[in-house]
Amino acid sequence: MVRKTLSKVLMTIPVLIGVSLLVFLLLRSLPGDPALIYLGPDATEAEVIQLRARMGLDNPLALQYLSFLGDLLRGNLGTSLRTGRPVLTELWARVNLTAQLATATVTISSLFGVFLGIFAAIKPRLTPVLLLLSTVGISTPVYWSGLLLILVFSVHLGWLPPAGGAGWRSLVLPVIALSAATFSALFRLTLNSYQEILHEDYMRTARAKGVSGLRLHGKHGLRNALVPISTFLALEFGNLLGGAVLTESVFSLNGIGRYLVTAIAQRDYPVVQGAVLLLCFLFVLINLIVDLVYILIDPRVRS
Amino acid sequence: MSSLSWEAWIGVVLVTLLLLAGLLGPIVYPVDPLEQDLYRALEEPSPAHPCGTDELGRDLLARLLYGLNSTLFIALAGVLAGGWAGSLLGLSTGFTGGWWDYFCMRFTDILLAFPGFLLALSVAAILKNNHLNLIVAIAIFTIPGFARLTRARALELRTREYVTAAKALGNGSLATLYRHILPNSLPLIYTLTSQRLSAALLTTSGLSFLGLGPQPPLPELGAMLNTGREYMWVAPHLSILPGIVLSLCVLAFNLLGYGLKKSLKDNRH
Repeated sequence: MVRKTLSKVLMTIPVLIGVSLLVFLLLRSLPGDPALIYLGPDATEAEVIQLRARMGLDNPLALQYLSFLGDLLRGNLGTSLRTGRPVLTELWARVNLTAQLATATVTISSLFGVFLGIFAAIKPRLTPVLLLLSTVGISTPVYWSGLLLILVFSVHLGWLPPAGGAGWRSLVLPVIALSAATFSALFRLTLNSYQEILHEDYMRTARAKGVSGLRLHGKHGLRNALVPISTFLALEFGNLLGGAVLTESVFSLNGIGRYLVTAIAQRDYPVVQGAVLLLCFLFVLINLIVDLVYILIDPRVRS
Repeated sequence: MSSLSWEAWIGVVLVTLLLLAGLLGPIVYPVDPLEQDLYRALEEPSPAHPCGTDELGRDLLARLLYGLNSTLFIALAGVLAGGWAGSLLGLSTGFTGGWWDYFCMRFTDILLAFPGFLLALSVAAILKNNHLNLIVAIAIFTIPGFARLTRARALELRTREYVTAAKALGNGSLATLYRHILPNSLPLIYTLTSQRLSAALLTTSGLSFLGLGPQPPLPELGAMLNTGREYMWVAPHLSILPGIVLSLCVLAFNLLGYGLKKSLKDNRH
């Protein structure tokens, strides 16, 4: 079990190196000279040449990558071309909000999604209605349902703020918009896998032994459904991190996503690079955690 | 494929209707989506403008039809390009194995480490914003998923008797791949295509919502939603209508995908 865990952890290293290389190459192919962007249009040629040399932009690409990787390992993501502040500090100030949104969404939708999914598999009376609702939920883009929520709850009713900056109250609408989509997908997944689980031999055996109700579904059913559910949740956490770009733009929230979009528009490439790397790193970390959770919940994976 | 579920049928009908609207709409309703009339800006639906007008007095119905056309085109082209590239990659690596397989799978590992929307966003961010580049971004976003699942299918088919027989008869790898592995993977590829189309539609309009799609004045559903956001207080129809059209598209391909997946499962049992 220890060996398995260790190998999972070590496996993430080449992936992270690959991601850093890919992001480095993508960002180096951006149009525009970073030194020129930093100095602004009034800079003299001598100033630009000097800064290029200082930023190491004249070195061969491989050398630039190695020094970038070295900085990365020391936690140095460079400085923003626009504000001159360290990228890591800027990101650190914003990651909290993005993570809060994703965590709240995953928590709420997994509670409802798993419960209703299992319920719909056991008692099929309401299932068609729930299926229809979830199909609509999956098909509605968050940046549109978000707009509709703002239209109803902020513009017409005036109950909740339409934008960020009002504490927890500005997170209510984004979390509802995101949870509607995540819940729908999770509900369908739980329903599908639980319908199959109900026909499994171990469920029949448990029932024959006289196990029923909460014990049957909690101990025998849910535990077996947990593997596809946690796979989905890891993926969905990633979708939420990547999709934060859209949600935070709709609700004008100051998270990493909106910061990234602004940086793209301003060609502030150290920020783009840092934000993309941080989001990928978080996603790889979550996948690793889920892989390790498998080892805990599924004895078959252990051997 | 003979027994399609009702979900798939609704999907087929909706997809057909939307494709027809996107293709023929601009011909049946020949109003210029770019013509401005600032005196009639932000009007509500009326007989002259069935869906009202936008912030520059342009006819919203005409813009919706053109927007639908361009969103569908970008998503379809992107998924077809990325889907075929990914499938060829997955089938060939799964069938041949070896270092090529190892190299390609580590590469898809790296692409899959980009959470959701972020891969398409990163690609779109470094390219100029137009139709073609958005298609490239969608295609790259589509490749890893296809590569993974078709590779699994090829691994499964590789051990089948008819494949062994084909090899024993002296067929080359390429011929076996083309004659046996590919045809037997087609149902999976079609199902995946339909499923990925809904994701591609959301990604396409998401990117142009952020201003990374076709640039104004060209209409695109996501970009129209973003404009509508600024006028939400005075003209809510500008954000409601493009959203309905977009959601219908995603719904149509989702239903088709579910239906196809179900029949794929039934056929395998």
